[in-house]
Amino acid sequence: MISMQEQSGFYVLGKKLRGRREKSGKSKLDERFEQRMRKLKPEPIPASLDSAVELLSSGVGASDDLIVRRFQLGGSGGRSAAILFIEGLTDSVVVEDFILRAAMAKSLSDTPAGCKSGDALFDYIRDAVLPVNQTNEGKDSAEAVGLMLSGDTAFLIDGVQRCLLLNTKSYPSRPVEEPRTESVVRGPRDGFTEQLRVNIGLIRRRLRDPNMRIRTLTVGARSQTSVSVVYIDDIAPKAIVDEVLSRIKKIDIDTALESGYIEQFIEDNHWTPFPLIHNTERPDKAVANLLEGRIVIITDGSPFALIAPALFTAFYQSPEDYYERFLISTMIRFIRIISMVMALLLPSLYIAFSSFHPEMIPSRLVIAMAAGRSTVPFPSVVEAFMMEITMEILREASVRLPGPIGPTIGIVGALVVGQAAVQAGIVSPIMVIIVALTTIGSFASPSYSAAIALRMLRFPMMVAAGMFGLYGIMLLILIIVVHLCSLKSFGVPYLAPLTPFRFRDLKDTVIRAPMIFMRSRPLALQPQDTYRMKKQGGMAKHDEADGQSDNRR
Amino acid sequence: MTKRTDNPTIGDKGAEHGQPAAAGGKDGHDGTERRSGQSSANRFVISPRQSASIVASTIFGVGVLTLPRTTTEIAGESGWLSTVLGACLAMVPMLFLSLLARMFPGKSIVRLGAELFSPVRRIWIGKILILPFLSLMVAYWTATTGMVARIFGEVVTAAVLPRTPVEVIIGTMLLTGFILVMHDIETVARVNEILLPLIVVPILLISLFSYQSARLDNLFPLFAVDWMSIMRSSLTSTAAYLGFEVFTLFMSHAEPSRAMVRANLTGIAIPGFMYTLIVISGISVFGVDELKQLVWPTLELVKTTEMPGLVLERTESLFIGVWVTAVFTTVGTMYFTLTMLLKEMLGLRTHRWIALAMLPALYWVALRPQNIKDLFDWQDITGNYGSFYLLSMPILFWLIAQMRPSVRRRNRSAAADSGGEGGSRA
Repeated sequence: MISMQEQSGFYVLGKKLRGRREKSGKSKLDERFEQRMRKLKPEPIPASLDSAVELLSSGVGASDDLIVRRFQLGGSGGRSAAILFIEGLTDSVVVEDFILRAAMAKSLSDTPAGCKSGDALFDYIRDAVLPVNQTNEGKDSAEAVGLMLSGDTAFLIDGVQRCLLLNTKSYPSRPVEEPRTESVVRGPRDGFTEQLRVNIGLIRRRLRDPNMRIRTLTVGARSQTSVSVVYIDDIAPKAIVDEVLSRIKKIDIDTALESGYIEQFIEDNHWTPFPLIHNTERPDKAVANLLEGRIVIITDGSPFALIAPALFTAFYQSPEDYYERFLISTMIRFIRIISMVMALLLPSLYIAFSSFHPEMIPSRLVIAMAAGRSTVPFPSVVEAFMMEITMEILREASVRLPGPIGPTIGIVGALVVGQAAVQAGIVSPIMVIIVALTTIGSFASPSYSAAIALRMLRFPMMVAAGMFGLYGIMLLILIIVVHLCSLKSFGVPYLAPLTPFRFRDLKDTVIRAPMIFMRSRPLALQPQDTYRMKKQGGMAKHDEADGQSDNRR
Repeated sequence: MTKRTDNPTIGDKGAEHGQPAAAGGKDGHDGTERRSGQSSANRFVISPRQSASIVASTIFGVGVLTLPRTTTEIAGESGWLSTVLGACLAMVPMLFLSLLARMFPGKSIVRLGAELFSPVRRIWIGKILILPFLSLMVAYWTATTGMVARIFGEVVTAAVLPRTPVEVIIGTMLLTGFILVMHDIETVARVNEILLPLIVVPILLISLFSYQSARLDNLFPLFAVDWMSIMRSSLTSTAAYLGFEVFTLFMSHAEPSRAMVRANLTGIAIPGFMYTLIVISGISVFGVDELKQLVWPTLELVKTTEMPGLVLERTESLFIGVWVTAVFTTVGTMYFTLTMLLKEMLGLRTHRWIALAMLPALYWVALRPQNIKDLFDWQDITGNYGSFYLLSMPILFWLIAQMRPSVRRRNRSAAADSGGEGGSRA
């Protein structure tokens, strides 16, 4: 099944697979997929140059950014030809130096006798004249226009019913920068950019595995966004790869602007607050996940790569964990878990304790709390809600505020408003502490989308605490646990390896075992290649290594 | 779900082909082993660990609150001995149920019972004959789920939420259980698996902390009563181990292996150990005479404990918080098995409508007892009848299965056939 799909299904940009695709049997899904994608009516390229130019420029509605340049092959007196390209998507240096200059060069008059006209000339120009790294042939107008819109230059020759498409893609882009989210103290500093090719390059550079596969599909009938599915052929489970590919093919939307579009179409459950597909801006994290048998989906135009299948345990894991020694990493994971529990539960625990179970609080503290609350006119639920919503407003505002002002306003808002609110007797000092801790706790999660899920769940949790105290909190936690247990990401239980329990996978959950024990890949994903290390301990035996160490000395 | 009802016809075919009995049996066994590992993609298999968790966390419910009193009422200082013996007693039917699950892979008590009670080709006779047994189980589970919810409501209102009506607590607990029941068997198994440590560890900690105020001489004399009363008390404490019978429905998805049998027995041993710890600490903290006067002895036990570091002044609210989990697994799992049982009896495709219909029924049952005294009487009745019935039924079924080797053989070859088929489909 997989081999057939590899040949048949993919709308591979500018690759030779097109011819083969026609031959092999297409599945219904593929047919429908292509129907959606082909917007223009394909027409054959006419022989006359004028009508060919007319056909192609009408394909983009003669838009003003379409550049048509007519010239004569081999200088004056030669056969007339034309190139068409979209300004802004093409590299003008390549167009000028390697297409125009080459095609107009005098030496072209030395064309061998057999190649003076028609198809032979076309082949000659493609094979011997134009020094462009990638050429395609557009069989019909639809294909030619499609490739022109992705930055190729169309090359037409008078009297030839063919169209040559030359790779001149050059998109405006920003350089590789340090990722804004997921920053680490120790680890590589490069992050994905908006360019698909650059992103794949960043992955390739880290992983020279010939078994790494990249399948590029097109999503969006209008935007024609390239989406690359990256996996390692002999690690990633075939069933999951097929599932990912078929789900992406099923996407029926006109535009996919960001990987979030893809994510929301292919996730298993659309009603859950928890991310069933993780995302990352970091190539090293993407590569690490590829090596665990996961699949990375890169969308053109988005610096966020998707990682599927996702597990709950990745909520509190950061790539840094594997770069630092295991005791430190394990401790930091504990800290993150504590902070995430704080982000979820602290305000609701405050509500429950202060209004339902004051007897649980140590007596001196309860006196201090009561003194602090004595001026507060509201019940603790209202107080907590007010403060939490204020905090969310501040947080949202500081994201929108222009760069330099943002943090300042955040501090001013938190400190000044908080202090003033306490003095005015609207909130109690403890509440301010709790809100501050909650907010800081939610920032400690390495995964932003996981942190938002907890931020959101905090509010129902506060309602439950306001209604039934600790009992309400427990009920809601149980409902969340039930929900988490029912979730699956591409067939993999979300809570694996906690349930279904797998002892060998526990080495990389709450704790991060020493590297030498991380012998197997996560078994929950059922990778084809189970072991990362050939030998237990991951090191060559001492007696084997001895010879080498002698040499070094 | 539908696949399970297909199995017998496949089995019939297998029997018609008439393969050699001995070889068929052996291969059939291997086939089931293979199937359990292989078909996890298309058919869910409960792992032994999940099976143990389901049994243990279902058993662990409201019984723990009254157990120190109920055991010492009859057996006195040797009350803890009766919890140990009770666990051993409860392991007997669990063992036979597990053996039945190995004999009839992929079948729950409904199908299995029907096959045991019918001639080879007329399954409907068995379906009718099994009805009384199943109706008893329906009645028992309905009553128990209601009682558990009611006891829970009584304790919560008494201990932590004095101004909340008991109806609200019962309603919210049943609703949360209902949310669980709306999911499938896979989710229920996982929920039990992940919640079991969250039940066991805190309760273990609490019972260990309570040893601060223990006076171990309260445990002596060890044998203040005669053996007969210890046996009698063991029988009553067996009621605290009821809940293992949910396996009668989970067995259709259980892995037919020795590991599953062992795991199920462990599933009883875990609450057995915890119960014994709690009873010992109850006796040693309060002494037998005081213990008999306490309505919720375990809750009182929690009140006497002090948290190290004095982070929390009093721990009973915390205990109730943890205990919500234990009650939830009991209510949720029993509610689930109840609806699954009804679904299979009625031959429906989904259990969700039954779950919805049972919700008001359970609520109504939970509100039947007029007061706590009445409640305890109800609990005693359901406990006594339940333990009598559930201790005897698996043994009875197992004996019938032993007497009918033809049914057993057919199931083994059926398992092998369906296993092979599943493999080729995958």
